[in-house]
Amino acid sequence: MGSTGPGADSLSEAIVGMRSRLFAFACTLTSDREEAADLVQETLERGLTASDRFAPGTNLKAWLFAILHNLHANRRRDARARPIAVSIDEIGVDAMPTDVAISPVEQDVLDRARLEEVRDALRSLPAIFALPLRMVAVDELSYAEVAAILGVPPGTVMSRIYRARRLLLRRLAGGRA
Amino acid sequence: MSDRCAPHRPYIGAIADQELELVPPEAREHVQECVICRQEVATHQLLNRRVRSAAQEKDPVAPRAQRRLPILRLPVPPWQVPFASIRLRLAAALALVLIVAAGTLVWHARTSPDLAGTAVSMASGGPQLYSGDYGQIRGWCIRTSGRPLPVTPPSSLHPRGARMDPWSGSEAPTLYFTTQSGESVAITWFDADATTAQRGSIEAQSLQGRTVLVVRGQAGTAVLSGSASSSTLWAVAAKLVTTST
Repeated sequence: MGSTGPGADSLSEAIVGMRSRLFAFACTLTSDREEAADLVQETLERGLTASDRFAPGTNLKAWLFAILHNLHANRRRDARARPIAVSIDEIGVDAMPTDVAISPVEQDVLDRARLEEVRDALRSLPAIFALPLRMVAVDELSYAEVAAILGVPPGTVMSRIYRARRLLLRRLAGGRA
Repeated sequence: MSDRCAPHRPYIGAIADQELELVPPEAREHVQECVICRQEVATHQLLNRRVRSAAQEKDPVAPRAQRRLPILRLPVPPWQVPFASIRLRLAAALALVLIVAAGTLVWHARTSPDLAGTAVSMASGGPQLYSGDYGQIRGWCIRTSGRPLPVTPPSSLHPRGARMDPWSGSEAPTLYFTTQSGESVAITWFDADATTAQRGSIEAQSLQGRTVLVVRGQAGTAVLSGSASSSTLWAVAAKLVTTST
């Protein structure tokens, strides 16, 4: 089962070292710490037992995120729950015009916002927007990597990240914009 | 605000993220020339940085209630200054020596290969109790050591037995398991207090050509050894460190 040797050990160590990043990703995905911890555990087990399938030189973080995302999708499918994809109409974001410039008020609010407020605003975003923004801003993944993990075209990732930032600014401004 | 900006605005986020492959040339050209759009690119980049900081760091601005009040310093009489200063310096030097000594001890306790070697030596003694019933093993460990086992092992492991060895004025239990593929895994638990275990970590060591993992968590320190492959040991270690932190 799996590979052995010092190289395998350092890869295993790197995989386990991703625990906190995976947990943050899973929390955004599930909004449930228990479920997130469970997902991370299963992801680590899958990653460790399949580490010989990881291509050296590629992005380990993206590989693990993809495993976690697939596990989550499988669980939702198994539970016959609704998939994570939520219609933009449903969450009322479509009403937000994307061709309007960022207002001076929004700019000012961003300059003054405390990190705690940014954190709260980020948590309040629907996962469909928060996930890609977090993956790019925090986990430093490329649009192509995010697209591969989420199983959507890169253009969709671009659109969701743009909307996520506009929505975040709007939440920070709290209707003052 | 220019109407010329509107068709290019959806690409501003991608430009801010340097994802230029997705951006049409006309949008790139427009943003290069347009002050308003360049400002928006900067805002997107600032937002990225703030999101990253919010996700990774604590807010540097402490709530008002948590801020410390400044300490009022009363003037010291001149005849007390030298003596107080000497006392302070001596106390500081003593504290420094104690901190260094304690740090060295803790460092040795945490990094010493002896813990792994001790565990492997203990595990090589074989089970004192043979049982495939984890409940029975747990009961035996409690009766023998007077303490519960820190963490329930992964359900993928089949219990095979246990042994108890004296260690540092306490008892260190070793639990024996087999994996579904018939490999053996031994988990030796050392007391949490004695090892000053804090946040979860896994340290790999090689003893006699085999991987031995030292897993530290709040529940204590576990040493994983056995004939199982390195990846199997890592999978078990990941489970232990996740459930004990």
